[in-house]
Amino acid sequence: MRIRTTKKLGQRVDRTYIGKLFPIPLWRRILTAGCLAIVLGWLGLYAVMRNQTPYTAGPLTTSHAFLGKHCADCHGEKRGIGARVANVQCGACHDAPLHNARQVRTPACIECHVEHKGATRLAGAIDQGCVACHSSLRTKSGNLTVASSVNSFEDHPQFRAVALGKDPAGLKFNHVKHVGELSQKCGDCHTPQGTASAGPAKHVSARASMSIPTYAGTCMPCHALNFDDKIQDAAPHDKPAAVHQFVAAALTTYIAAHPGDLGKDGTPVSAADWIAFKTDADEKQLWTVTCAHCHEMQAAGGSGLPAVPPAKVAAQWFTRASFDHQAHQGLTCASCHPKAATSAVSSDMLLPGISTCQSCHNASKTSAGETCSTCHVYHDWSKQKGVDGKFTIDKMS
Amino acid sequence: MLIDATHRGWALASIAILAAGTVAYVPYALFYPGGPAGHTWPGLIYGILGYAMMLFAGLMGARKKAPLWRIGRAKVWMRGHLWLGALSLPLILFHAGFAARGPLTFVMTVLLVVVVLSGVTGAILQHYLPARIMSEVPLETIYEQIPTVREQLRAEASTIVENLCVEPEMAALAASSLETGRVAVMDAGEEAPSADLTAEQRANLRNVYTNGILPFLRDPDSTASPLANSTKARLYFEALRRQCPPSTHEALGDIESVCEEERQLTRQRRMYLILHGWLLVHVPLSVTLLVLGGIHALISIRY
Repeated sequence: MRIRTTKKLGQRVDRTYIGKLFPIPLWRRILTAGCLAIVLGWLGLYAVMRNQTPYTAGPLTTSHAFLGKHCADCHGEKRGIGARVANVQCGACHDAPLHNARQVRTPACIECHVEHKGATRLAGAIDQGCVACHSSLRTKSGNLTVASSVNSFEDHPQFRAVALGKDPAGLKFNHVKHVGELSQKCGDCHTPQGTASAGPAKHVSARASMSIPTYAGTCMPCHALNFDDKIQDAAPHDKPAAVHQFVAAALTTYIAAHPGDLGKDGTPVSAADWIAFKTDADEKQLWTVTCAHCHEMQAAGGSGLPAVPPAKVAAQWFTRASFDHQAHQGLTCASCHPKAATSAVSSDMLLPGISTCQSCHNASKTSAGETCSTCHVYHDWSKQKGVDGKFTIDKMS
Repeated sequence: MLIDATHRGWALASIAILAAGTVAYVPYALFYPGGPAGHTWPGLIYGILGYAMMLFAGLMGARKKAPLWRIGRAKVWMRGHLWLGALSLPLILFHAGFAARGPLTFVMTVLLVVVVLSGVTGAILQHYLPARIMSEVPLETIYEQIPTVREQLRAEASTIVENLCVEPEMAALAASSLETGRVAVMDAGEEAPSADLTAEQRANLRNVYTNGILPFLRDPDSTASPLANSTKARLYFEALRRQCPPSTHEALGDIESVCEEERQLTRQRRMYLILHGWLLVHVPLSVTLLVLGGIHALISIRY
């Protein structure tokens, strides 16, 4: 019978085992050394290639991707805990004009342009940067000319033009007549063009706005300024003095070629009187009917000619923002401009209100985007200056 | 280590730290310009705390190397290792804003997740398996001694068989040698050499031992032998006993007992590999993570 006693169990033990390395501890060491060798070899290989890509906090934006190998290119050399990329580092390549001369605080570049978050559009600055000031806006001097508190597009104030409630163009135009009775299409008069207007957003050249309908390009085919049955040419779309000169000259030429018309139908018999008589009659027709069809004619002054107030058709309604008709070309015109179909007078404000924009640009998951940078640009690019670059292709590649 | 009521203090403290970290993280994530990131001050605080906890957890390995140092009881270190090590995962995720966009940070995040998960697995195994080993392997020995013990068991069984099969005239000499022999440590030698076996039975017993029992004792991990299974082994020895005279049954019982001990050692070895095998993942990746964390911290301070 086998009997297990402590003494006999003790005799079985090899007392030298403590100094030996057994499989699990041995493999633990081997695997530890192997893992360290792999990761240190990986980092070492990049170090030999003088490439710091492994240490990046995340992929750079497409426009900065070429800078990924050398942290110091953007981060600078003298760094420390909590230090941020200084504006001067960005300034080596970028000119960033001030937003507004009266702004109280100038944020650092990286407060709005957040890097290492992938191939995003870096110019599409984050809203927090805007809201930091615009949630309770102050100025260094003078009064505010924009809303004092905007926290999101949801509480964005109504567009200034819409808030005025009236189109100040100063023309007479009947949308109902043209769109309804004459079945004209919006595109017959309104055509898109690349934005080239002045203002903070002018560098965004690809955006399309609507061109201003001109008389020559839009109205003339139907509204030629003919003034006399005997004269084939129409009067020019010009100032009254130029029109007067054209009419008198046209009648002078006509009567010289048709002297038989003198005295006909009760007209004067002398050429000079005939010209004066006909000019007076034709201009009366022009000033009171033809021109007044679209313009608010003002009473004649000392020259005997009426004055025509200049039309104030807005080239671009938004002076502090950009709107891209091209980006919205999938929509019908009437979906944003429904009043156009019922507007009989040109003073009607046909620009859609902000609620129209908010129906697509909102906080929902299916939103078309509601960031500030969707419509606004921070930097006043009209004050842009040049930058002398410091990098070379060899260093970057 | 049992995760029992003695862990309550650590558990409550860990939950409190996690709750505080989460409460602070929510407004930070929602309102911090540019969103949460490792380089921001809140992100740095989370990172420093998380890495400090990882370091503390890692120092337990060093603590084991110096068991006599008066730097706290091993149990306290183990509890700290468990709870602070687990807590480092959420804190590091808060530090990184639940993102790992860079190659090094991605590798470290994967390592951290694997290290914590393997650690949790290990804690669960350490909680349940020792009790199972106690109940299923009553003949447990020091794991590292298993090969040595097995050698001795094999020698012991061989001695028993040799004693049973010794020629009658050699019995007296064999008995005297057994009294002083160091090989048979389990009193098998007290069994007097049997003279009841016929020459044919001795040959048969030798054959059974050489071709049936000894192969099992040489390779007890193999499942090919019927002796690897306790039920089949019992039937095997019952059959053997029927072929031998009653005077040999006690000695045959000893050989059966040796086989049972071999099976238990096999079971112990398997359970030990499960109980400690996870360390082959946990330890190498932990050390790698700590080294990479240090490099990450240095580079981050630099830039």
